[in-house]
This record gives sequence, structure tokens and C-alpha cells, in this order.
Amino acid sequence: MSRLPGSPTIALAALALLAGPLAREARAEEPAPPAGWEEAPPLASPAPSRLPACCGFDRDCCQRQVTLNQTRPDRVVRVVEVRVEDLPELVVHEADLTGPGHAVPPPVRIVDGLGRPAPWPDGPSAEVRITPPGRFGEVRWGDFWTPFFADADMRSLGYGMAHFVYGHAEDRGRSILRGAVEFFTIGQGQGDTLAVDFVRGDLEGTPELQARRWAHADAAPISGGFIHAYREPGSASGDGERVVFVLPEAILGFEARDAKVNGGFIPSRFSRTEAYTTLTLPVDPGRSGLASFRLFGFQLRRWFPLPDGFPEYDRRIEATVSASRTLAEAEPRVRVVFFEG
Amino acid sequence: MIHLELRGPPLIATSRSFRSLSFLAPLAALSIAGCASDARRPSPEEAPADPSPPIAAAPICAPRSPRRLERAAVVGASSAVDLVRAGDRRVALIADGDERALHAVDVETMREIGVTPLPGRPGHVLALENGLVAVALRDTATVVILEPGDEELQKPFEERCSARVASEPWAVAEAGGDLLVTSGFGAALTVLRGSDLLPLRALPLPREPRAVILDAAGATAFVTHAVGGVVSAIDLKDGGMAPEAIHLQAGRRINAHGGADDEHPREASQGYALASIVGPGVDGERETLRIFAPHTSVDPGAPDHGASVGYGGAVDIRPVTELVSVIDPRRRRSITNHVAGAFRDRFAPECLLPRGAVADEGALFVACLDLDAVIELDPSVGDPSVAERRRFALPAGPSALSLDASGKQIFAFSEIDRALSRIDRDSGDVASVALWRRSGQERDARLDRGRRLFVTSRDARISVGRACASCHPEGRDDGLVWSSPDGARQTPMLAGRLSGTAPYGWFGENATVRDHVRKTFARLGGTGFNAPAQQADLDALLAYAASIPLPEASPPPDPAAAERGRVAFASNGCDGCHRDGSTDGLAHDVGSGVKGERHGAFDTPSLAGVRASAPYFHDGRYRTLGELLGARDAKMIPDPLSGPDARDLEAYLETL
Repeated sequence: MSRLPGSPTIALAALALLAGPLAREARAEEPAPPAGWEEAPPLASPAPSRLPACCGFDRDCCQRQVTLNQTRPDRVVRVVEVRVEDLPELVVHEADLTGPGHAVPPPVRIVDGLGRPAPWPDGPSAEVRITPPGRFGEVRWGDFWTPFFADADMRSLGYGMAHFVYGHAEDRGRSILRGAVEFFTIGQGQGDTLAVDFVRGDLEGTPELQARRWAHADAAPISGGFIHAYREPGSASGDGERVVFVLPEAILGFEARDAKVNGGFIPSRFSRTEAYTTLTLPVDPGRSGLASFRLFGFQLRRWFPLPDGFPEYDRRIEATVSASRTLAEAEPRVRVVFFEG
Repeated sequence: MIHLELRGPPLIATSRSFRSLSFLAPLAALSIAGCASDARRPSPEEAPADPSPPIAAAPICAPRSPRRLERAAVVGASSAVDLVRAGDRRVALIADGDERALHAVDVETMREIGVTPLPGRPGHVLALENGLVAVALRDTATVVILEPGDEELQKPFEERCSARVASEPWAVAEAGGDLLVTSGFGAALTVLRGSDLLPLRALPLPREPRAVILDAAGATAFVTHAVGGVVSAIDLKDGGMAPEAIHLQAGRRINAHGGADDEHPREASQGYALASIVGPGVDGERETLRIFAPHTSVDPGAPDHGASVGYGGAVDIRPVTELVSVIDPRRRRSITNHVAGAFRDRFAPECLLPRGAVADEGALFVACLDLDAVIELDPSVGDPSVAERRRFALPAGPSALSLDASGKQIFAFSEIDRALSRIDRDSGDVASVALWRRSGQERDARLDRGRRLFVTSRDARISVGRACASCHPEGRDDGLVWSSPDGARQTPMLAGRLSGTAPYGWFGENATVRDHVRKTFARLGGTGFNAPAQQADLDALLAYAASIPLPEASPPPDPAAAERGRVAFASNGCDGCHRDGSTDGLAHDVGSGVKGERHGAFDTPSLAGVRASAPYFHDGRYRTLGELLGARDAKMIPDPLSGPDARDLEAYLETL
């Protein structure tokens, strides 16, 4: 307590007069410590920011301590909750791909090196190239695989699978139009959905792909125009229900063992650009999974048109998708968690 | 002779657990004696000669006054702070281990209104359904039941009864009128009858049990453990059932070549707290939906890697990282199978000493002793520690939490600064009050400083991303075997083993603890306390480490066997090196070294608290004392002991 001016007696008397009523009121609400106990010293207020003590004599300690003090936790800024039952379901066609009225998957486009579609009366020139529909995806023909970017300025990163032509003119290219083909493609769907197609089939000497399996989903927008999702029902082979998040090419971070990642960019040597990313998480009871990723402005610019006024175009986006569910929970908890960029 | 009439399952539940349970027999006698004394029952000789009709004796733990308090917190695991309503007041009750007291703080005004001195160092406090309060006293192996001394909770609480339980009672839960008590050092769960604290059942548990939480049906108790990486599930309806170990899945280790090791999972440690979410389940009934077990995921190094630069071999990942496992209460397993934190920046401020937790549908809050903060996490994420929303700075050493029944406020007790904090959930505002302390007591500021240093994980001199308490919770050990520059080394216990046990280190190469910890800091990536200006901090840290007490062992279940073991200890020459259970201060080659060892002779370790310091030998090759004593590899004991001799010797060692 600071000293009152004047003589101690007067000061104490003044204090008693002034503080008397207040003290009585305080006593009624604030019991004093009983005999044998005392008030603790006031709590220290948080220390003001300053250099660590060891900076005076230990450079290593100083540098590390400053780093320790300045590092901040990854903090959530926004969460999008996804109700699995609201998501469109992946529809798979297998047995109904032949015969009258059969399901027709989106066709591939087959051209030669001059850009001419089959058939080629004089045979294909230079190469035969298969490009899937849609804007982003990947295609495998035989043993070879490549990412697929439909936009002209991105085609150097992958534009369909090509086989070179060596003496195939005689049969008009029929002998080259053979082998297993599968593609995954993402195109603009109805409204703000994305059309996601996976087709597997064979070329049998004609430019028509004989599809064996076609899976299609209209992935629903989840967040920001760059995260869409659909659900995959459980399969007879024992796979449980899953949620698939569809994104532009993302920088992949951590993924749980039960999470399945396709596409995306792994920040290490020999990695190559991919046209998309899918993150698949199990949502059946007793399961848990998550996957984290980063997205940069250049990756978003390649993607489908983003909503007007999309504010974070040039910022780095850090996010994690998560799904977990105990046996007691009626619904899985699926989240997209955004962190401070 | 006291005849025990037991309700429910028999006292000695299963043959499997017979030996560990038998400690209850002397405890039961003590318990009855204690309660009878506390209740001031007249003995037959003192009984009045009034011939009035006999009336049924009131339960001796019953309240004597009209009910004065009600629970005001969300029901979860107990902690050192609980919230009650007394009249029109909401009051926090705080179990203060340093001052051995139960404080009452009006949480509207955040002013202390009363204090009750306790006859021991309290662990957790729990307001009971009947308006009484249970407090676990860690250093006296006792649970006491208290009743408010007045309506306002300003007068000291009065003791109604007490019971002895296994060593170091920590947490308390109430199940259908009975009390469940976990004992940390005693590694047991004791079930006490609520009406008179008669021990009904006790179960041996894995090492260092801490928090206990019940499922919504009250049918299963879940207990977390400070070491061992498990949560025990105990079926309360089936008295004969052994605890089920739920292994926390803490990710994969990094192998010697830098890849993921699918055969050796990371370990888990620091399981002090539990919280749960209760709500409508699949069947529409109210049930426990998920249980949260905050802990740390630990990579102690590739098992076959040999020597490493520091403790733990991984370079690019965090050897110790935060993790909150989500446990499926129905399936009794962790659904969390990933540890994202291992790949975070090494300097990231993670919660490495989680000590308290509360949760509801909206959030999980965890008290972090090392960060002086409570963190708010998204409870819906598979590992909630991935999704931190907010961080509340608090006075030093937050270790206990209570969530107001309305869900609007969280109360935290900071054990180092001895303060209660109220966190307003909407605004994020924090109000704190320092608790009263005993007057006229000398306090050693050096020990206080040392304690703060012991638990911080943010001091570059000690480590990057680890605290002393990371490997030495409560000054004990994490039960892990780490890769080190000398090869595989198990973490030694510090509590009760530092004073008078020189030299230090497994090779006994350091004459003083001070010399030894210099190397330890370097192995942890710390810069050390090298400058003269830092010696005061190092002195404080060493003084605190030396002051950490070792809890007393539980009474031997078979005193005769322990006595025979004591004789065997001498006749087999054990006390030649382990003098009086301590050390001769010399290094001996007992053939325990492995190929490539720098020396064959190892410093004789103290055996204080050896029962609770598994695994054994410098490289942790023996998981239990029984395994060590029954080993046929001629290490240390030239002639293998007979079965009875080994059991007697083990019984004696358990008393040290």
C-alpha cells in the first residue's frame, strides 16, 4: 500500500473514515482469510515481450528461444461441416453397359498427330492420342499413364495419352486402337456441381471405347468453389462408406493410414504436377481419418471458375478434411477445417 | 476380527488378480476402523442404558445436515476443481496439493470464501450426489468424505468418514452410490461403498492410472494412464472381469533408414485426463458418444538402431507430439489411428503435458501444464489436437478443469501459481484469483522456480519440444526405452532416487547430477545452463528434482512373504550392491551389457519404488519384476531362483 501524506496517525484515521463503510461492505461479500491463512501475493501479469534472458550471453540459446517464443500454433479459422447424407452418391454402372438402352459413359476423343479424329482412311499420322472428356483428369492406355489438362495453356503438363505410329497405315490404325483404357475426369456439372467420371474399358480396333465400368457422381460444392464432395456407398467387397473430396491439385500434407489420396503434389524431388486431387475418407462406424493439404493461388486459377468476389485468391489456404465416427454415433462427423494461412 | 459383509462381487475377484487384490484385506480393516471412529459410534461398553426401541444405524458416511450443495458442473472425469451450487451461489471447490487444503471460491465474484485444511495432499475432488464431497489424499493413501460446515461454504468442511486405498489415490468417480478411486503409484482401481466406504472390489491396473470416467449408463469405467499408452476399460457390472486394455494408436515410428516402421508403433504417454460427449446415440437413447484421451505420441527411436545422436532417433519428425485419441465407448478401441502432429515444425507450441480435460458437443478443452494455457479443440475431428481453435493464457501450471453445467464457463486450476481462472466461453475473457495460503510458512522460491522449469516444454536451454516432465511425469519415468548415444536406455525414475545415489548415468560416469544433466540437455537438443548467470536456474531445477517425493508403497499383501523375501534379498547377495534397497555407488559387470556397449559395468541403480518403474535393466529388457527374477539368462543372479523364492523376493521388492 502506498503511504498517505502527513502524519501516520492522521493518515490512518483518514483511511479508517474513508474506507470504513467500504470495508464493511467488502467484508460482507469477501471474507478475509481465517486464522492461519493469508492472501497470496497478486498474480503476476503476463511478462511483456522482450528478448529471452539468455540472449545476453548465449547466441544459440537466444536464437532458439526467440524462435520458440515466436512460433504460433496452427489455429482454426473456419470449419465447414459436411452432412454425408446430403452428398450426391456415386453411381456405378457395370452390368448395364451393353444391350438396348444401355448406359452411355462420356466418350473419349481419339485423334492422330494432325488432330484428325478416327477413322483415318489413309491411316493415322504420327501418333494416336486419347483424350478424356472434361477439363481435368488422367488417362491410362495400356501400361502408360498421364495427367490431363484440357485448357490450351496447360496442355504441356499433360494432354491425353499418345502412342506413336510406326507403319500402321495399312490397317488404317486399327491395330493400334487396342488395349485397356481407363480415365478419371472432372468437368463442369449442372449448376455448381462438378461432374466426376471414372471409366474403364477396352479398345477393340475401333475408336469406340467398350466400357466395362463407369462410375459417375455430381460432386456437390462444399466450400469456396474449390472443394466439392460426393459419397461412395459401401461395396460388396467389404469397403465401407466413404466420402470423396475433389480439389484442384493441392500440396499434400499429412494423411492418415485409412485416408486415400489420388493426385495432388508431393513436395519432394521427382514429383510432377497433377490435374486434380481427391481425398477419400472412411465414414462407416468405428473409423477415423484425415488428410491435410495446402492450396496456392496459382493452383486455384487453373480450376473451375470460382465464385464472384472470392477474396482469398492469392493467399495460401491450409486445410484438413476429417471424418470420424464411433459405433454410438448416428452420423459420421465430416469436417473441412481451415487454418490461418 | 472384523467380519466383512460384502455387497456385490466378492472382495477377491479373480484368481488372476488375487495377489494384487489382497492388499484390500488390511485396507478394509483400516477403513472400517477409520469410519467407525469418524462417526463416533459408541462402543458396546459405552452404549447408553436407554431401553428405547432399537433404530437402524444411519450409514456412517451420510450427511448430518440438510443438503447444502449440489453439483453444478457437467459430469465428466473428476479433477482438482469441481463446481457446486450452495444456495444462490455457484462455488468452485479446489483441491490444493501444495497447501493441503480445499478452497471454496465464489465464481461470480471470483473471491475465495472459505478454506478447509486437509490431512494430506489432495489429488482430485468430487461433489457427490448426496451433497457430500470426496477428496483423494495422495500422500496418505486415503479418501475422505467431507460435508460443508455451513450453508455459505465459508466454514471449514467437516470430515464424515475416510478409507484407506492403494498408494496415491488420484481420481474419484461416483457410480450408483459407490465410489471408484484410482491409485497412481498403487496401480489399482478401488470400489468403495458410498454409504460407509467399505472396499467392495479392487482391480490391479497397468502402471500409473490417473483420470477415471464412466459411460452414460454407468456400466463401464474408463481409466487413463500416465505411462504405457493404454486406457483401461473396466466392466462395473461384471465383478470378475479383468480390465480391458485399449491401446492408443500413436502412429508409426521412424526406422533406422528414415522410413515408416510398420512393425513398431510410436508409444503414448502423459495420459492424465479424460473427457466425454454424451448425447443421443444410434438408438436414440442418451449414451456416451465419444471419449477423449489427451496424451502424447512418442517416438523413442528405432528399436534395433543401436546408438543415436540424442534421445530418440528421428530427425525430421517430432519425437514427442500432442495427440488426443478418440475412444469408441461401444467398441472399446481408439478410432484415432493417425498422428499428424509428428510432422509439425519442431518449434510449434504443442500441449505436451495435458493434465485436465472437459468436453461437450461444441468443444474439447484441455489444460496444458507446460504451456500455461487451456486450448480449445474441435471435438469432431478424428484427432482433435489437429484442430485448435483458441488458446487461453492462464496463471502457471493449469492442470484441472471443470465445465459449468450451462456450458458457458470453464474453470481451471493452475497448480503452480495456485490460482483459479474462469474462462467465459463466448467472449474468451479470463478472470483469475490467487488462492489463500497458509500463513507463517517458509516457502522456498528456488523450488518454485525449479518446478516451473521442470514442466516447461518451451525453454531452449532444456530442450526443443520436450519438458523434463515429458519423460519423468511426477518425477518418475515414462516406462519407455529410448535410443541414445549409448544404445537403448530405459528412462530412470528420479523421484526418491536422486539424493545419496551418486554417481549418475547408467555407466556411473558423472559424479553429480549437475554433470549428468548437462549431457541430458545436449541429448535433448537444449543449449544448456552454461553461463554463470544461469546457474541459479540450474540449481533451482536440480533442487526441485531432488525434492520430488516417492509415494509410499501399499502395504504388502502377504507380509510373511515380504519378510521371507527380505531374507532372500540378503541371502542371495542382493544387498551387496543394492544396500538397503539403495545403491553401493559402484558400477558392476553382471553380464547385462550387449554387443557394442562402451562398458560392461553398470552403475547400481537404487531400488526405491522399483515396483512402479517397469521395465527393468538398463535397456528395459524385462517387462516385469517377475520376468526379471525368473529369467534364466544368469544376469545379475547367478543361480536361477525357485518359483517360491522369486515370488517372495518380488513381494519384498514391492515394498521398497
